[in-house]
Amino acid sequence: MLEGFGLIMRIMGSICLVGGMALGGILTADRFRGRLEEMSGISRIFLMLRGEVEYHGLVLPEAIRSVGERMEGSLQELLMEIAGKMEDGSGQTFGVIWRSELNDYFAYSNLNKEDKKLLLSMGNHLGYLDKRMQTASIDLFLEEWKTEMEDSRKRLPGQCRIASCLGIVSGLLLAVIMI
Amino acid sequence: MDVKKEAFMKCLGSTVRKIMEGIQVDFCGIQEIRMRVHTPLFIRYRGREYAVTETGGLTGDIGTAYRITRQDIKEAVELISNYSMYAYEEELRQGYITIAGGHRIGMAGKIIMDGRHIKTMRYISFLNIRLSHEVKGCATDVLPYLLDEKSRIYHTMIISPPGCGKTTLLRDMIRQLSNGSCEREGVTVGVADERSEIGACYKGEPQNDLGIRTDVLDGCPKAQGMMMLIRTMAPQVIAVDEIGNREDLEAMEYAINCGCRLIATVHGDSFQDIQDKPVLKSMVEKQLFDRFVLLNNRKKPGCVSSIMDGLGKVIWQQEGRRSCWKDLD
Repeated sequence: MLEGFGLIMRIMGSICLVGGMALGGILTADRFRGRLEEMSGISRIFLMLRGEVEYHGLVLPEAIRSVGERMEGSLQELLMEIAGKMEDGSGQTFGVIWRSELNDYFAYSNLNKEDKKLLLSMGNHLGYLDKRMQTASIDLFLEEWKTEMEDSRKRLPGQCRIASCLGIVSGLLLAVIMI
Repeated sequence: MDVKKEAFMKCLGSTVRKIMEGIQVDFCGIQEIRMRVHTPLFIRYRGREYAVTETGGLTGDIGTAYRITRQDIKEAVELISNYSMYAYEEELRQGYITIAGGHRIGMAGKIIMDGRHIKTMRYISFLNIRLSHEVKGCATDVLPYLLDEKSRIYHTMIISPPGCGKTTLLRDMIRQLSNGSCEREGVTVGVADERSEIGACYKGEPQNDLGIRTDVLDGCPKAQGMMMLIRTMAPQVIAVDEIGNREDLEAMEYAINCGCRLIATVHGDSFQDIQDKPVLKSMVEKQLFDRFVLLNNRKKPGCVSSIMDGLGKVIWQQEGRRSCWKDLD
């Protein structure tokens, strides 16, 4: 009787384990997709920022706010926060504001370490140079960013498959060991 | 906090801002702040220069003064340019930026040349923050001498050496003419403000009170600005600062022929001094102007030393201190 109950419990545990691990795999795959979407949003931000700087000649706080108004979700929040901090005249440099706001944003972001490093480095280049150099430095960033995006896009189907399969397989493996 | 003071504080980095917030003097008396890398922080207060200590005290002993660091300058430049040096390329070429509140920040550093032209400025290491203070009413004593029997302003030229208050006087004349008074109707005034000194426009909005009937063309070359104003805004009076070249002369002649009254300022020590300059001499000979107002700062900035008619005949001369601006006392 007790033996039968133990077996049922082990089977139920194994099902939960396989389900949990599979879900973990799916979520990881989702994170990969989320990263690509986020990268695409950031790329759009810098493209618009470039336009605001080059054609409208807006100063950085206004340009960031203007781009922020056209974005959605957490990226909009990020840009509005940065613009707000720049406009409130707290006396902080752009680099400090940029780093502090991005670090807050990264806590909920799907970007990887390299993306974060690249994004943070823009704090040293935005606003400082003349218009031509400013657009050139945004172009350079976009080029690197797009290369990264392309790589990521190519790898995405494989990564998603691996993440999902690994989740299920590792769940099954653990279940077998348990039973 | 006063708007002008707040705007000024916003252009300072955190350390210098803290020092200036702790300073125990009347803000209206501060004329300029000098920030030079690795040297003491200086302010010019009511005509005298003081070094400033870390706690905001004024001192004559530069050994105890706060020394400006490169970081202070870097922060200030970033804040002055609104984090956007690229948006101030033209201003940097001229060597100054006008910020909100009408304050003007002169900069010096390493000049980058593009052929014969100045391309930009790098390694900015010296800042001169000139605080804008309006002196409302400073033209009240002068204005009656500059109006004809129909209370219309004569074509007037204000002559003064740099720093004697000609722009301040011009600004108040514009304000008073534009607003009008019980005895005099207000008139439409067009201001061609090439260097943003008269209106101190920030994002197109004058930071100084130029009156209710004043239109400002900000940052536009004077000669082109005068033509544009005539064509677009139909001003009864046109005001320009620091005229001097042949294009200005032609534009002024055009304005006068269009029936506009003209008020202009020019650098000079005396009436004779302007007659020694070919273009200005030509203006005098053609009798473009009906009144010349001479300023000096022998007693203090803003003293009217004499007023002359179009032929150079003195119609009023300084006696004592009556004509000096009361607000600067």
